[in-house]
Amino acid sequence: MSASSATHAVARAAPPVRTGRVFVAFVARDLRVVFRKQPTAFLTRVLVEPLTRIFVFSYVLPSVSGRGQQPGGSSFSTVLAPGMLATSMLFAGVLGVAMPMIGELTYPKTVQDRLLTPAPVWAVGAARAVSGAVQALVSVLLVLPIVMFVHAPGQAPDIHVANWPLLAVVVLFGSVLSGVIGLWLGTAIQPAHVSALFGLVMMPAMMLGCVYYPWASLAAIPWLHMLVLLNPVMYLSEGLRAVLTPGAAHLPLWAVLLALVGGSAVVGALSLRSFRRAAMD
Amino acid sequence: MSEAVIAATGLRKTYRTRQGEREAVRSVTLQVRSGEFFGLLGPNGAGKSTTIGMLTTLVQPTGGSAHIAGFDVVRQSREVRRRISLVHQSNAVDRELSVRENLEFRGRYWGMGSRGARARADALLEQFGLGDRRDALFYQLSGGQLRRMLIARALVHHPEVLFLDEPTVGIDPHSRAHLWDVLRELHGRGQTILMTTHNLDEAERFCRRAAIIDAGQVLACDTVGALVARAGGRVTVSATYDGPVDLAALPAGSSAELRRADVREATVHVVTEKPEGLLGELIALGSATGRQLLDMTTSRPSLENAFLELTGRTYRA
Ligand SMILES: Nc1ncnc2c1ncn2[C@@H]1O[C@H](COP(=O)(O)OP(=O)(O)OP(=O)(O)O)[C@@H](O)[C@H]1O
Ligand SMILES: [Mg+2]
Repeated sequence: MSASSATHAVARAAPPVRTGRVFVAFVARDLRVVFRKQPTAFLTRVLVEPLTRIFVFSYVLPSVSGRGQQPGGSSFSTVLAPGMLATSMLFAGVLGVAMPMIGELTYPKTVQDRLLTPAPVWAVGAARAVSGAVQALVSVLLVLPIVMFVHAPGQAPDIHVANWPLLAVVVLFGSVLSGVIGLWLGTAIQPAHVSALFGLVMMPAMMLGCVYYPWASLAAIPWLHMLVLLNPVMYLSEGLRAVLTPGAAHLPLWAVLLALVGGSAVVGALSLRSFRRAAMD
Repeated sequence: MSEAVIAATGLRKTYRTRQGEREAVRSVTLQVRSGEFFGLLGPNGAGKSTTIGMLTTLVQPTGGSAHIAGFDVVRQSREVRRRISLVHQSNAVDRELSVRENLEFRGRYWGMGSRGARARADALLEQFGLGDRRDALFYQLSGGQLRRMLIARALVHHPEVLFLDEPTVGIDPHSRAHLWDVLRELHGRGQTILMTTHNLDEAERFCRRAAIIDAGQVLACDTVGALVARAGGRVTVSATYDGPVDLAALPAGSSAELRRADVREATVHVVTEKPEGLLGELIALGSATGRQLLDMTTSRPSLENAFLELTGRTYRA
């Protein structure tokens, strides 16, 4: 090649760019990376863990113990299904945002190639949270057939949707919540503490998220009953119970929606602040 | 003076880290006019990258102000970003994307449609000799190819001001020469360029004006010719021995220039107006330390001398 071929016009006044357009490009970039360039990584991340867990809890355990009935009369798989969907969503959104974010914020800060665009700084973080929410949504769709069809004979979960719009609202805000939690963790955590993120935050949250039992049944352990009110996984599990398996005990919907919508707003604001602090020198 | 595209006044940055505060830039004032190729020169840690960071809105200034094309880098940062491009010292590429996608998304971030952005990416990659590497990921590129890719990417949206942070570090002479051809051509077309560099020869050859900064302060900001003139008729004599030497061993009666010399292990740099008498003195310094003089070179007055004059240090890349 010759240098004189580096032809191009210089120093035209660049046209103004609308934030919405840049935002869409940010999200498009993330989704291309996750779904088109690294689909196997995504599928392994969202499928393997729920598949194993559901297989053990809904198939192996009922088969070996011969017990499938919960005190409330509903089968264990009915209690487990919404809980599994909730953990899958949170896993997908949180990991899908936090892990790449931590990488892009450590030197060299590769996130700078988006910070240098004509968009406000918050838009870079918000777009990443949105792409996390999309990953959470997709993970629900992928895990749903697993919870429906992987179970011991005669122990199918009793799922029926009475109110589709309400289901959409719960799933939507659950997804957003998982995206913003991911952004918060991904920007507030030092890279050296990533393993602590799993051990100290993710594992307890998942195990104590009322995944295997309804929140109401925790009344037997009053202190835990109150403590898990701080756990976002619990609200999503109970929310999905309310809209997918109304037969099982669950939190009142108003409480779920308040927690999911309010939590999304509060954690969203915190995460954008935290993103700004981590991204700018 | 005519309108400055880059104008910084008393720009200051103190980093707050867990280890405490670090004053990276104390006071930087400079102005660059449209179409200029401006050099920002200084040793490691002088504050060059921090200054560029503030001018490109990535680093929040602690004090002072800066404007790009009349827009405040803090209050109107989006207007600033719309008009500039930065090639980082640290090779900040999007590691998940291919070479072509890096350019394509650069276009989309600036509002181009995806088809237009792809076409622009392909044209630039072709022009920069990267057409056959367009599907490569960053770690599959050589250092020189990566630099070319970063510069191509920086041009996607026709920036008014191009910031280059040490663009030629770590690439071989061939790629370097090629890069210079590209930059010269850009400059010829009226591109405003602000570049930091360690390479004083390059700065001298390509920049019309330059600022020399050290310890976060501008020591001098002038045309390269005027900076060179500051070094007067002095030249730098560099002597290399077969081992480290020590000025403490200098015999009595040695010249004042030699006493002020900058010693780097086995090499001694002396700035002097009369290099003639120095040879004998340098040999004497060697024998006083038990070393042998291997080589001696004399450089003409240059930016390097000016740098030494201003900072009291030699300047080695
Ligand atoms: N993010 C940061 N946090 C804390 N200190 C920093 C940070 N970035 C730079 N510094 C410090 O600020 C000073 C100036 O750094 P800077 O990178 O601006 O220098 P430079 O002139 O670009 O050096 P080099 O030639 O090595 O690239 C150095 O002492 C550096 O250690
Ligand atoms: Mg630097």
